[in-house]
Amino acid sequence: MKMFRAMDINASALGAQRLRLDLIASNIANANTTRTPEGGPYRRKVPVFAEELEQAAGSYMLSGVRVLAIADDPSPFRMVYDPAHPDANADGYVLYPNVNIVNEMVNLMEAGRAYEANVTAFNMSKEMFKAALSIGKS
Amino acid sequence: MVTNKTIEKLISSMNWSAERQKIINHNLANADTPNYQRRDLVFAQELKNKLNRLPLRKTHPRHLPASTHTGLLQPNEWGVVRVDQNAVDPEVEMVTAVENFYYYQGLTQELNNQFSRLRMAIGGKA
Repeated sequence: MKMFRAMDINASALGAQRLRLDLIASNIANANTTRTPEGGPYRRKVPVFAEELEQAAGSYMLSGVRVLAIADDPSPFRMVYDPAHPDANADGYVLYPNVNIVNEMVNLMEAGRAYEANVTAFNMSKEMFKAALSIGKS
Repeated sequence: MVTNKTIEKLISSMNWSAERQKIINHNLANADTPNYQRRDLVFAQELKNKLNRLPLRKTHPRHLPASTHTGLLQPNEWGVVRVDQNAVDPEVEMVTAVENFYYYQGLTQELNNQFSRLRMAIGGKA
């Protein structure tokens, strides 16, 4: 069913944007976390999106978006001079996560808008489906 | 049973529109996918495929041949504008989606009209 497939594509995007929002929330929550189970300060997490194509009878079927991986941002940690901190090194510097709150807020807004755009598109697909179902009534 | 050509055409247009909706959704879904190029269904190309039974005849060797490209999907014509090489413009997608939405609504309405006319002809209540 073509229309159901359109809705599946919307659902894949909603899921991907939701995961992105979750990661941003995690980044902001851990903006000052200096200890993690892996050791060292928290590393900023970013989702890696990829286009999803399904091979079908010699051609490709569009199937929305897929989250390939949750990657660590490799950029360097923030160094803050705070000798009183228990995680300070010999010189008195503490390594803080490579999370920039401004970046995260901008990403948050963008992810929210992308989510809304996909909800709107989903509603449109739904209305089209409803119109098709009402053919022959009246 | 139904031999009405108009109804057949309306149905195939609705299929086309539903397919296009799917592609718009796919574009929107990939608005944040690096390297993704926008796709669209091009009506002219569809038409060309349908008209393949009537190929263009070249009467001069320097005439340009009809395009042999049969793919229905094509990336956008404005090229890449973003650092992550993504070429999806959410505004363009939303406008295309609304356009396509009302096109579909119109087709459904017209199909309904066709059916009520049939009903009228049969003698039921129109």
